[in-house]
Amino acid sequence: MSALLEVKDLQVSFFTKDGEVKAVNNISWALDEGDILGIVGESGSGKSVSALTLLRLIPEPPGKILGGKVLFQGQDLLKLRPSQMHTVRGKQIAMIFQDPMTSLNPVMTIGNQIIEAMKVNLQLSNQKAWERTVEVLSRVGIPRAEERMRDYPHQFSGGMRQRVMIAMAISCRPKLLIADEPTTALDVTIQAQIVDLVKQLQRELNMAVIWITHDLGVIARLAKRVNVMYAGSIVEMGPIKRIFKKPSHPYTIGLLNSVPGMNFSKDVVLQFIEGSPPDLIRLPPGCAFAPRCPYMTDQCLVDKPNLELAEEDHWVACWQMDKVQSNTRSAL
Amino acid sequence: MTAGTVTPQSLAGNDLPSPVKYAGFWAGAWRRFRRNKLALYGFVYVVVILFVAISADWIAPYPYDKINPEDALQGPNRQHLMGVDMLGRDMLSRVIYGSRPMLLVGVVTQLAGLVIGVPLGIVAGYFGGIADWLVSRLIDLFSALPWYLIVLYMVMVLSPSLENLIVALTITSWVGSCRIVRGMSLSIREQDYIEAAQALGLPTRRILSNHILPQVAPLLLWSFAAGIPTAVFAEAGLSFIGMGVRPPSPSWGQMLGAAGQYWQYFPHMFIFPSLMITLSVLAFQGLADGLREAMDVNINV
Repeated sequence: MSALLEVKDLQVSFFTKDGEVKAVNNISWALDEGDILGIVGESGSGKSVSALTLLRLIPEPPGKILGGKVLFQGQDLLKLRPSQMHTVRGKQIAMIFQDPMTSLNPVMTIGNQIIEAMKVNLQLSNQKAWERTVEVLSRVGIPRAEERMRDYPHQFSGGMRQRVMIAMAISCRPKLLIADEPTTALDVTIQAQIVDLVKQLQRELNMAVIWITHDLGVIARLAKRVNVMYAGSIVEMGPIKRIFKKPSHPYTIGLLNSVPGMNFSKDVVLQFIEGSPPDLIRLPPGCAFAPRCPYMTDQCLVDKPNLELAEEDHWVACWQMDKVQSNTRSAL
Repeated sequence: MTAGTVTPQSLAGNDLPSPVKYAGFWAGAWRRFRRNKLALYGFVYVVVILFVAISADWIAPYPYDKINPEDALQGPNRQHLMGVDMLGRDMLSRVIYGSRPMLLVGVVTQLAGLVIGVPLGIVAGYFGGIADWLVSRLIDLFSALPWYLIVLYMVMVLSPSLENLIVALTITSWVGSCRIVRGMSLSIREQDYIEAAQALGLPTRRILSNHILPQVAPLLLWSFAAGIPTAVFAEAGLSFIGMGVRPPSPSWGQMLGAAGQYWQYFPHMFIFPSLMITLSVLAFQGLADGLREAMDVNINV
């Protein structure tokens, strides 16, 4: 299958008065049509920035895309003029955001917000757009869709609003849906509903999905592939099954160990990763994770490891990969 | 249904009462507006004065410029309810016609101010950067200048007339609305739903017109009404010193100016025009205050 989206050597920085914040450092990855990719990492790891860059939505200034390519169906999005980006956003690539409470315009009915997007992107008549809005709203599980279109966002609960956001995003049949921590602001039970909904829609509409989160549990349920990011770089990348079976980067192992599993008992102390993420203005010359890493060696402090093939289609950026692998048991 | 009759059965099933409907922004605004008595007075006054100004030709008992020296300086009586001025013109008719320049100056300068100020403010607030810098400096410049002096110079250069008075007042009337709009669009720009709208592929001009302008609009209505008293005062003041409406066309300020030599002996000459100016300014001020309370957009969000 051909790649729908290919990111090559992407580099994004924010220029603040304290210095250059290197949010994304030379990352490359690809996504096939109809695939679900998870991007995992803690706050400030560059996962959201790399997603916003795909839509060219990072604020410039202070942000700046320093280099790289974002090939969407073979076309470099970074070379498009701003006016051409409007035809990509919404229609080809849509996005749902973290907080559904603030991502809808509070003074516009939700019907009008969805209709607006469809009128702009698909040049539909009012009548047609109205009908399709009813259809997508029912599809994402909003009961009495036709009636509720006349309601304002504050009349919906958080989970319902996120459903509205999803309806809005899929209304123009995008080929790629970017979900930026869409379940973080929701209750756990609602989270599961939203994850299932996106999974179902992905299958029905055959769209690719990029799911950004810090929750490996969600990723395990949803994604086919995963990129683990740390301090603006990808540290581990591959099919979800291989990474859960044989996590090969100390950071991934740390993430996996810090999530309580189903058979978690109160006698076991949950492990955590010591220390805190590095200052993105003053990144260390070597591996960014080295200061927190139990496997750290002298080499790690000086040389930055590149992504290497650990096994088929499973990439890891770690000098001590062999030692790490021999030390870990499967997380599944 | 009273509280006592609520049972699990009545809450379940299909006979759920339909959810409380949001009455809409304007219904809520009207409800809040009605609570304010001064605002209500202002509203009624404005409707009445609008009617008077439009139908002046039919309701004025005499032409405003009909000179009748025999009747000059009569006090209020049956023929002349507000008395007669020094040239024998009927004061009531002149007061009625005087509502026209008052409304015209008030409304037109504010409208023109909106037409200039709103686009500038939205663009400055939304795009920021150099556009914002330029507009902000313009706002600073025009707020720092003594506007009365500018208006005086302008009228002097353009020669006194109603049209030139309006032009001169417009030069400064955009500053208020521009500042409001700039501030609001600056803060709305940072909202997540603007980013979401961008991600949906909405063109910038659509974001400005459909997402930012509607939020700013209620405040603009207030700023529109609140700016009118200033314009009314300016018109009265400039006409008083002969820099505004020229005789024989009447204006309340100009009538007040004409009363200057007579007011001690013929108080009706200044009482009625000043009463009208006071009532009008009060009415627009009350209306503006009521609108601000009624339009507080955050109440229902």
